[in-house]
Amino acid sequence: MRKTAVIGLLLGIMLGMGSIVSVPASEPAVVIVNGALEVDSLSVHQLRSIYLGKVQMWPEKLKVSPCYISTNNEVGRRFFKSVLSITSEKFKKHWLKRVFSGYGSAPKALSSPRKVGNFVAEHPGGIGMIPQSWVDSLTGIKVIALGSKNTF
Amino acid sequence: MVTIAIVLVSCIHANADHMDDRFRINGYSSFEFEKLLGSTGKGDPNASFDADLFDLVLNIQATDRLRIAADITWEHGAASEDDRGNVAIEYAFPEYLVTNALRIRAGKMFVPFGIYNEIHTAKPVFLSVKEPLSTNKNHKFGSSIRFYPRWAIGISFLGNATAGNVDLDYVIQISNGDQENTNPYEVDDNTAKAIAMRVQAQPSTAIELGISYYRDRLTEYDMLGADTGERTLVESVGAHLQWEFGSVGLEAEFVTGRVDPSGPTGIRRKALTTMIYVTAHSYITPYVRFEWLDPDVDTGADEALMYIYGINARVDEGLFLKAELNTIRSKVANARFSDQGYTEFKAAIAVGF
Repeated sequence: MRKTAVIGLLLGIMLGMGSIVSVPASEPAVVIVNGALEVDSLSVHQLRSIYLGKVQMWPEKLKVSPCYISTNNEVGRRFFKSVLSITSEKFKKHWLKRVFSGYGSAPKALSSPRKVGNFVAEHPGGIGMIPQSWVDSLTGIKVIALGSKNTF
Repeated sequence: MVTIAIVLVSCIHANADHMDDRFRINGYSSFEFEKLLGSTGKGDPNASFDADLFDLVLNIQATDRLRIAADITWEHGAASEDDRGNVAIEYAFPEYLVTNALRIRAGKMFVPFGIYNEIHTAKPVFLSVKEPLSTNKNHKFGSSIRFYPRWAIGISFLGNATAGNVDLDYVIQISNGDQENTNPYEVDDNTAKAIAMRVQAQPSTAIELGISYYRDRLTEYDMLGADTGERTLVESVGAHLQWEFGSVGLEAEFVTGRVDPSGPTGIRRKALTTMIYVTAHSYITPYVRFEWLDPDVDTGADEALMYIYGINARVDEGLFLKAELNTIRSKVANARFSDQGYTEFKAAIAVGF
């Protein structure tokens, strides 16, 4: 009984903290959206506009709900550097300025690919990014192309 | 028992996650120090500490399209029992998302003019200790009246668009405008509505260009405080540039305008702020800012100048230390400083979260 409780407690802590996942530095990552959205691809400019708060609504009139893997994760760092072309410091400063000026809330930073996948699946306008290897283990999401590429 | 605790913790955690999707709390604070260097001038001779402000910024996403935003500030150690400090709503409005090109706000808002007015006192998001006087708080730099008020109550239409690879955003605000004898956030003292407009373009992530416009007609009162039926026109036009190239950045803002009362004593005025900065290793940013104001172009010897030499250090995420020297030079007819130039040391700890 005690052993079960201890295991349960450990599981609870792990769930609370988020999965601890190591992603190989070279593993390709993909942009995902909620599976019900009609969008199949976005240009880099469109994606940047979403994450900088300039686009807030999908063509089907659903609110865009962006999230990202925190920059503690290699995919998160790569997303900022090679896709958004902005440092995470500038991204945070950009959003602090917008938030304090009354222009909305920053995209949600999440700690693991699973949390990103769940967030995107749970939000009708959800968008995020995960390592490609995680795609098959998640439901309610779909991968979209980024410009002419499928991965970054 | 343990199982119940685990379930309870999991439930709280899950609910907190969902609550965070709809309700966000951010905020900022600033603690400042000022000391006049020398024995004359309007700087602080006593080396004062100032519990400058503590603000909570609330964002409630009530529905997919409806967001409610508010910024509540406690300034200078607000203590109402002792009639000290200030508690205020910086802004509070619902915003309805119609399309990407159109959102509608109604409530108390900042006047959308130039770089700084909407940033207001959010010290963690700008380098210097204070926002510019010449182009933003010109009434503290020798002008009789600001180029545009800080706040307005009314309706705003705003949105974003893209032309090619150029991102555009605009705001049009219709408000009660400013007034002296009544609360402009409750009633308008005349039928003339103030209009503020700003359009900004970002040809790339490194450059932002903007133009702003403000116009209002202020009620003129007689000696007994009664409306004379005459109006004073306040009109201002501004242009600004923000540019970041690698670690080097530049900000520039120019504002010009006029104040035309019913009598023959109208004024035209101009102001400029420029700042250049260099960020080293993402943490240390030295900056130099120059401010200039001519409160009345037709009056001689009333200009004021300010040079700021400062350094901003990002100690941790959202935590900044600032230190700077402010040197003010003015001419004899300047209403605030006369010809008493001075230098003041300012420092601040600014936190944003």
